[in-house]
Parts: sequence; structure tokens; C-alpha cells
Amino acid sequence: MRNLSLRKIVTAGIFSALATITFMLENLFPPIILPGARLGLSNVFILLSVLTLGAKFGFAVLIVKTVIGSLFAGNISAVMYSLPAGVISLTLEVLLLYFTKKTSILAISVLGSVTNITIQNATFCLITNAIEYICYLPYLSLIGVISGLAVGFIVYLSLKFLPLNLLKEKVVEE
Amino acid sequence: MKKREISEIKSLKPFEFNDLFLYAFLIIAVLFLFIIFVISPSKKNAEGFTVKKGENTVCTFTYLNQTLSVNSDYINLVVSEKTDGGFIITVYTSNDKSGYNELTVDTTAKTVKVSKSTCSVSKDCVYSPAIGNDGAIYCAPHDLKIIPTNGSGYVPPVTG
Repeated sequence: MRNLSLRKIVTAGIFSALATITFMLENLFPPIILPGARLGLSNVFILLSVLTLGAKFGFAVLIVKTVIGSLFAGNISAVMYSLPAGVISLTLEVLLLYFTKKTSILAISVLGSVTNITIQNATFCLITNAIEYICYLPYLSLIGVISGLAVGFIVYLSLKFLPLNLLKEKVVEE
Repeated sequence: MKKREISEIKSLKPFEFNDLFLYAFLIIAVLFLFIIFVISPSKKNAEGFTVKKGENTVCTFTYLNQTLSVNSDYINLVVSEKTDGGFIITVYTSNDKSGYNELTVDTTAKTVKVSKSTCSVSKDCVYSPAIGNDGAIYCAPHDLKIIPTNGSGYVPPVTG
């Protein structure tokens, strides 16, 4: 049992590091058309954490990625709007994953991504009092669909082709 | 709590029947957002733009008169330069002039964009599209906001 916990913590640490690095690398590239719009490939590791380690590890990876990633990217103020959006969208994804049997990981990822980008935009407008930014919401939600599909597909492929011995424990709490 | 087996996770499919409901919901939601924010709003021509730092106005530019009005509190922090197609306005973040946002104003197209900035690594403000009649550019690390000024009741500022 102790070994299992240790194994989970170490794996979550690796996922956190990979998510943070991906987040920072993505920040080096220009956004997709609109400010702040990115594929969000770091979310691949968050979803993989939820699926292979459990929801609480998924949330831990999300918090580490958002805080450390924003800190290193030189935009710590981004935590104010990206963390609430991340927590709410991941909660939605976890609920769908656990309570709906006949929903694919792709659809869950798309919904999570659109929710994330929508809440992030709304929170950003509220916090910064830049209500004019709300006009980007429809375009951002479309970008969210594309990003969700990309993330979902990568997660699907990762799960499909990852060797079973890496995931040999019963892992996802339901 | 019941736990899901690895084999179950591995057998996840890229498409399930319930996905249809989720995708339908998303299509309706995105269409609704487009109707609310893109199709419905009545468009007004921008008369200029305002640069704000927090709640304070730093400067205001009008396209018609091509005038820049600078708030007296920020007079040492704003530098403007005329170019072929418009103006380049540099807004410094502090008196030591270490940080800045450089705005490029196109007076013909009546647009403004941030062309250079010393903010974060991602430089979202620089990659923001040029704004004309609507939209906004926000530089979170510098707390700088550029918004179009339009509509009636707007009083063109005096040259600064």
C-alpha cells in the first residue's frame, strides 16, 4: 500500500513536471489568433493523471502546473483567472468521467476545454475590469473545441499505446 | 469507492453515443455566443482609443484630428513619434523607463496594436490583433488596457 502511494506520488510529480514544461514551452510560441489562446497541450498530463492516478492527483498536477508555470512565464497574475477556470473545468471533466459511462474521452476533453477557456475569459474580464474582452468569447470557445479535440485525441492515443505495466494498478477512483 | 480497471481505461473509445448530446450542446452554446457577441451588437465607428493603467487614463488618441492627449500624471511616461502610416506611442511603466509597451497606430485603417512590450514571456498583448471599432488589448503584467473610444458624447481631447 505504501509502495502504491509512493509510486502514485512519484508519477504525479513526473506528470506535474511534464505539464509545467509543456505549458512553458507553449508560452514561447505565439497564441492561436487571439491572446491567450493556445492548444493547452499541458492538459494532456492533467487528464492522464486523472485517468491513471485518480482525481485528487489530477487536481494536484493542475495546481502545480498553473502556479509554477505562470511564475516561470513571468505572468503570476494569470493564476487569478487560469486557476479557477482550470479547477472548474477539471471538476466537470472528472464528474463526466466518473458518472457517465457512455461518453468518450474526446468529448469530455472538448467540453472541459471550452468550459476552461470560457470561464478564463469571463474571470479575466471581471478581475481586470476589461469587459471589452468578452467580445472574443465566441472565437475563444471555437478555439477551445479544436484544443479539446487535440488534447483528447493525444490522451486517447497515450492510453491506447502506453504499456500496461506502467498502469498495472487499479487506479481510477469512481 | 469502486475502482475502474486498467483494461477499462484502455478500452475507452474515441466516440460514444452520449458524445452526440455533448457536441450538440456545445454547437448550440457556441452559436448562442456568436449571436450575442458578434451578430447582434450594433457597430459604431471608433473615434480613437484610450490607454488605461488600472482605473486611470494614461492617454487618449483621436484618429480624426490625429491628436494625443496625455494625462498630466503620466506626461513623462508617454512618448509619441509620427511615422509614415500613423504614430508610434511608447508607454513606459515607470520613470526609470525599464519597462514599456509600444503601440503602433494606423491612422488610415483607424486601428492600434501593441508592437513591442517588455512584459511576460508569452507577450499576449503583442500577439493580440489590432483593434479598431471593437475589442481590447490588455497587458496583464503591466496592467495596461487599450480600448476603443466610440459613440456619441465623446469629446476629442486637446493636443498634448
